[in-house]
Amino acid sequence: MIPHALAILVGAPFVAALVLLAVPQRLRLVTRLVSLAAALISAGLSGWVAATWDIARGGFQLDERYTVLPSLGIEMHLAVDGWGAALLVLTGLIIVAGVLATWTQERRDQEFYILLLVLVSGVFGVFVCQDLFIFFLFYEIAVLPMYILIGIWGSQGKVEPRGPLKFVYEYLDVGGREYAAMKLTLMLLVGSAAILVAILALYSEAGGTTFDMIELGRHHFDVDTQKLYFPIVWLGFGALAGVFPFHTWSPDGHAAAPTAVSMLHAGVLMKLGAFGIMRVGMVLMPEGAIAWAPVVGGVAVINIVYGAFGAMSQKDLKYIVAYSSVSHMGVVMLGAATMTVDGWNGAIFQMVAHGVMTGLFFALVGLVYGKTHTRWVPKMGGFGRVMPGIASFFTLACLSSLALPGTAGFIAELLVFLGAWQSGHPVWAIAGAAGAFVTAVYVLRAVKSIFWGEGPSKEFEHLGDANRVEWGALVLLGAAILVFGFWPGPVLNLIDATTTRLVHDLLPLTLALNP
Amino acid sequence: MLTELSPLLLPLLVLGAALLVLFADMALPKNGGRHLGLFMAIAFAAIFGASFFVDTAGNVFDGVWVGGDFTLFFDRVFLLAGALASLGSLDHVARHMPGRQGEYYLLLACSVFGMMLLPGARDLVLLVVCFELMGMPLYLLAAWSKTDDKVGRGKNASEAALKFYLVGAVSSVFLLLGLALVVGMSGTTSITALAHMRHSALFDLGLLTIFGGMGFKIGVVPFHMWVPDTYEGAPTPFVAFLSVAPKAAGFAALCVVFLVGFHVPSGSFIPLLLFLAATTMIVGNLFALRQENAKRLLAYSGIAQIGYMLLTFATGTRMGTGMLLFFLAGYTVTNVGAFMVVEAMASGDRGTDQIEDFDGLYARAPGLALAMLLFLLSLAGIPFAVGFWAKLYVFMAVWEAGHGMLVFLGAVLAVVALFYYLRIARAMYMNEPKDATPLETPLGVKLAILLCLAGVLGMGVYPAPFLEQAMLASRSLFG
Amino acid sequence: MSLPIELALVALFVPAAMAVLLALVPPLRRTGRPAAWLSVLAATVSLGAAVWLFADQLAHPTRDLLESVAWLPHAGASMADVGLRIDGISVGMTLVVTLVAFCVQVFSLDYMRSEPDADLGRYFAYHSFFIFSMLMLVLAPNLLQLFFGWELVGLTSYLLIGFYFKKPSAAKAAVKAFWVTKLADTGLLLALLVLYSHTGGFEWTSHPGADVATLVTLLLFVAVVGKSAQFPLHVWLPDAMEGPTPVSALLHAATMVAAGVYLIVRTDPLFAQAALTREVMVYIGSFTAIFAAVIACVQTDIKKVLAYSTCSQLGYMVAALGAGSVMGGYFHLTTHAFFKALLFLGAGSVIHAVHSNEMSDMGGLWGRMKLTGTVFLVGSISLAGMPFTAGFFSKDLILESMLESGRLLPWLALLGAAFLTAFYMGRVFFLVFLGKRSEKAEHAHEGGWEMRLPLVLLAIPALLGGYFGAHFAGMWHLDYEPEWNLQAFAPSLVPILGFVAAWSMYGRGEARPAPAMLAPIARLARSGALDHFYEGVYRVLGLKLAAAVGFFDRYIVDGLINLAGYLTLTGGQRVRRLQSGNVRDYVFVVAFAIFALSAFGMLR
Repeated sequence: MIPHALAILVGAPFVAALVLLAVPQRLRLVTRLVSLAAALISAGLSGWVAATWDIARGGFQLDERYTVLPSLGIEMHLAVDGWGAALLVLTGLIIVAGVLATWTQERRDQEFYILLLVLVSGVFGVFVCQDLFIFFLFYEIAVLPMYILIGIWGSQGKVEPRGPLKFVYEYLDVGGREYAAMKLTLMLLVGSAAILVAILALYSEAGGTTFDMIELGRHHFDVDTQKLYFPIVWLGFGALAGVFPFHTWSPDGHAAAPTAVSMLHAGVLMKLGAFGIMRVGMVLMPEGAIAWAPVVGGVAVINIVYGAFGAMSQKDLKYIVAYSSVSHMGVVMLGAATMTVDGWNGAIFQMVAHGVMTGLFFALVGLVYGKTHTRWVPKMGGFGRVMPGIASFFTLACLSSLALPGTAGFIAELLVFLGAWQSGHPVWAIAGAAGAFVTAVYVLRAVKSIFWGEGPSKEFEHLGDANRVEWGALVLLGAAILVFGFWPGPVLNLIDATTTRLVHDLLPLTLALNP
Repeated sequence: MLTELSPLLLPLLVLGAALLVLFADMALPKNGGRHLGLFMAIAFAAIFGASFFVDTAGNVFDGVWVGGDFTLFFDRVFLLAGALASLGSLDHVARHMPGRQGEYYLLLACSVFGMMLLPGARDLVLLVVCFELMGMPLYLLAAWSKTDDKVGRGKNASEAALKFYLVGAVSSVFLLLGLALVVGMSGTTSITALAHMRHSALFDLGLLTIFGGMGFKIGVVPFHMWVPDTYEGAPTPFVAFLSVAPKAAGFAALCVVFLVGFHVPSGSFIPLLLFLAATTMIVGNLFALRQENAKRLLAYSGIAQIGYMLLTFATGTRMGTGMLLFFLAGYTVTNVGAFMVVEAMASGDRGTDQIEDFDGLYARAPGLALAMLLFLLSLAGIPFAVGFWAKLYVFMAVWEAGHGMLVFLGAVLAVVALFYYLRIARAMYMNEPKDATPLETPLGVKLAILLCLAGVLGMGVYPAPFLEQAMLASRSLFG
Repeated sequence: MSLPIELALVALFVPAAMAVLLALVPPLRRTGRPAAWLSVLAATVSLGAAVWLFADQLAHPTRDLLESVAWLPHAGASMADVGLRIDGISVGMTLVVTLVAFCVQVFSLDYMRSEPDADLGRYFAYHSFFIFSMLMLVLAPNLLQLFFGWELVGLTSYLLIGFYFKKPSAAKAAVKAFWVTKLADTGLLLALLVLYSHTGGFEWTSHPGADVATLVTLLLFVAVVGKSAQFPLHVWLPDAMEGPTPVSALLHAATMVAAGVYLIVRTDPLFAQAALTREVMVYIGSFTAIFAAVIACVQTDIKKVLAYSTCSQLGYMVAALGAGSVMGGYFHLTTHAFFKALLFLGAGSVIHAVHSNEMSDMGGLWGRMKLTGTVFLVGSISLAGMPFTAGFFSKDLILESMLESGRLLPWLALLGAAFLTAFYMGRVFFLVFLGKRSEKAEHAHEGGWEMRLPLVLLAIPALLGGYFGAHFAGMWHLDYEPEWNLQAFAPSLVPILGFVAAWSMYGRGEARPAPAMLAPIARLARSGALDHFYEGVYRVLGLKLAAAVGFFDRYIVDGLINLAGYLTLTGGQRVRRLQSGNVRDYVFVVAFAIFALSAFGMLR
């Protein structure tokens, strides 16, 4: 038993960030080692939490409470349930891999790592914090550093003005780094505004005495209130989860963001959105969720198929991956919308699976970009010859994203589709499966045109494979994909323990609403 | 006799300090003015400190002036603003007008004295006197650097002062007109007595006219137009003061007249107030979007902030008022800090207060850039800066009062606001500097900035005690 | 844990371990031949275990073992286990898979000799992995695990077809194969969903009721059509010949493509409940049989002939299963595995000798490569179903059962296919081994012992495998009684006629054009109409639609969001001009505002 484990887990990266403020700029190695140390501490603790989390007991474990504002009923209440534990593991994996993958980051690296660590603190906080208000604070902390991270270290793109709204595109520098950063920040913060409103509503509805989500969970909110505020929560968090049509920050943002940031953002932050919808929306407002489930599920299906086709239409490697994230987050939301054990297990597991997979994707894309300085797929080709390692891992990531058995993606999508079919929406499942096929089409197309075939052309012949440190990141994430894919039990049991109880509480409501 | 003045101790101390400065200014040689500034700053700080040890409860002149937690809270805000302003002004004043430093601080002190009398005033005549006592020195201060013409700001300064004065005069006229109507209708000048008056049309007319007159001071749309021009033209450290203290005083007066007096917001003026608040928020934010001058941008952002405060004021509840006071306190440290950074940027003879002048500040003066970033985030209402709690409490109060849509509007406008705040942040952190020469900040300004930073973070990380104080103050007002 | 389980685990995991080892230790993989030998060693162990397991099963024919562990949690329990199902059916297939795999790996030792070391290691790593995934499929206790293996073999197929990934045609073929099979596999996935939501499990022994069973089996059959290259999804198989020839022998002739048939055999309890599905199978199968056979007659690339022949033979099996003769389907699967692998390896040995796939580059090789010629002949007659060869028994059984089921048209189709089979195999044999040599064939010679050994090994079962039908039947708990009367031999005239026809046209070895009656089909086959159709669909439903979506998202959806920002900013721009800076205006506005307020006060 480690005292204050969760506090340390959340605090370590933040403390490391403060330490870095003191480290002189020129000590580049120290900067990296401090960051890596913090990442390892948090990751290690995450692993410990997941390992010691008592599946038989279930519920919330490792309770820690720290007073903040008793007068308003705000207190820092940390605890993990199975969902949190699983997602902690994911976050741990991603941040370690992220630090390794940006080991060669040169420009203003210290500030970079500081912001990165602050962001990670926020992410960890969201997963373990049971106080709705602090939950929101952590959420903001996780979202805000993106602006500077993308704005300073991002890569430039350009979108040529076309279409009926040409003049808008001529006025704004669409695709530019700062455009992407600003768009991402503003869209997500509008979402936050909605979330804040909903949180205040729940708070005052429940008597204005506590923000504790477990307490609030006990309070049964009036059905009309739920029906009114669930969609607000859904769209508020949905902005971050990339719910159509509020996903458009994601392609530009992920394309512009530097490697580690894309890894974290697509790998973990988008999950915060979905997690928030399930934790705040569906658990606190079950009737509202059930009432809105058809809409949520329908939109999720749009996400899956639409995102997949969107990805197929792209020629910019980063955009391909970004759109695939939009598509895969649709799978998460679909699982959530089914309100069944398998669906929710699948949703959370898909968060983990997609997190690891897209983390690997962005790490690889970052490597390729770092070597070739182009994201333009048509210029690539035959890279399998010069960078076989990167090619193999890229293929692995692709297989996971098309849900091939043996990869984490398969378990997740299978569960989600099972849930969809059980929840009486076979169409969702069929559409989802179709989306998986479209995914197969575009990812294999990408592999073929990047790594296979003739080439590489003159300018790329000299390129090499990943270096030692980068290998660390790739192996870590690749191994995770396979382990979760071949042996999902350990992680899935954590998730299942929590889901089962929640759905059990849900059951009477479901029956009451649609007998 | 003297004991019965004890509730007025703090204002009197300020008056004393002012007189000392006056005499000292005559006595001292022309070039010794800098010490006066230092003295004034220390005096303000000392009185601020004293405010924690003296008991100012009780009323003076049989109820014309009532002291208590309410006045105490505002006194502290004014003293703080005064201290910070004097600190920040040291260098500016000494550089631009070495000969006439004394009067600057004298005027500052007089204005503060007027402000400190306001929250306690329970008589309309006294109220108006205090109002003008506060206002007149401000007009002069705005025009103060008129002969200074090093970088052509003198013309602006006098122009700014002129506008400030003219529009101010007009609104004072209306204020008096309104008072005349109210007194005429009610036959008494005692605010507490007014509480039980029957509302007739002319009475309400007077009320609204008073509100208009006060609205000018706090810069409510549409009485805001003087704000950007004045801020742009006037000496920055003074603008820092002007952007917070008179606003607080204005709200103090509003609270006294409308909450103690007419219980209006609990009445039928709420829709009007809400409407004005909403317009103020919208106009402020929209105008701020495309400003190129940092001071103008801050001016409009200030107007937007006033909108939030007015929103809270409109709730008219004890909780709402408490939240308003907390907002004012947080706003004071934040905004003064932001203007002080601008002063640091533009100090010396550089007229550099355009946004592009902030380019690459992170490289030229890392500390300054970080401070500015925090002030901006606080203004935008980002967690762990005081501004966040301020906005949050406002939203809570407004929510409790049952105006959910306005909360949403406020939240969305806060996001819009983030856009222009981030424009400065982007200039500081993402653009490369035009001239990489490191920027040295005058000691006084540096000190002021540090104090503000401490306030922003202190209240941001642990707002509880400050909130308690604010609540206490509002409770004492409602009695 | 009992002995059979242990044997099965060995057969399953030794190759798996080898694959992992080669994958994780690049230095070892890059050594080339040592890696190859390790892989062969693993295959040998696997084969040994399989043989032992088979013998053991023969000893206890009624044994049906199930050993499994919880795998996929659901509400505290396990919704699906992973494990081993050991009964006659799985054991028989295990032996077939491991034997052919072993032969192919040994063959590859020499055939792939010229490959660079790194690639050689990669090649054998894939092979080891294939044994693992194929056995996962074969030994699966439930449909979910079967699907698991099903997809993994699909993956290995993709990787091995794309082994020469630098060659654009190979890359294209690999991707095409994956797309087509993946599309079909969606059917299997949906079948899983339906089965689970109706029975709460993935067992093929369950009885979900006729309608559900029909739906499930139809969905399963969709996957079979893809994997076992039935019309209209057979298009990927001929292209798959881009892969190395031994790969074609193992995956695309003997085992992987047969997985579809195996799936039907395995899930027969479900298919037995679905008459409709079986009807569909009969017609798809028999049509594929004749259709592919016809196209095979006009191919000039020796591997393409064999590829179409595989489609055709798989058609036989599917039709047989459709007719309800599990024995026929499974028996033919087994024998076909041997003689088709033999034929491909023989072809490989020829290609190795003349460095070309075109039959026009061969000819008169009999003198140069006696052994290859002999075994190829054996394979050909067995495939054609000449009496007393393995193919004879299985094919005979299929025709018989089809006739008994009273479906005349399919029976005729299969009979015609039998004739054509003999015809095109004869054509191939005569063109390759008789007649005068082309200059490429001049220096042809047999490969090393690594290549000769597997040929011999496979020739034996290809010739004699048929006589063990009864034993197999016993193991599979199916009734099979080969009767030795005249009526049984009647169909065997057909292949003889076929060979005669082939001899009459190609006997002298010179390449004559295909017979006139086949000319239109030849044109059709060359034009690849179906391929064009699919490409058209892909271009329109895939690329065009995607482009449309891309535009819509970039310029409409995102456009609206940008528009919001645009309006706010330009709004800020405009209102800024309202601030005139002129005092008179200010005073006026203030005065006006106060009057407005007053008006409000009065009017209230």
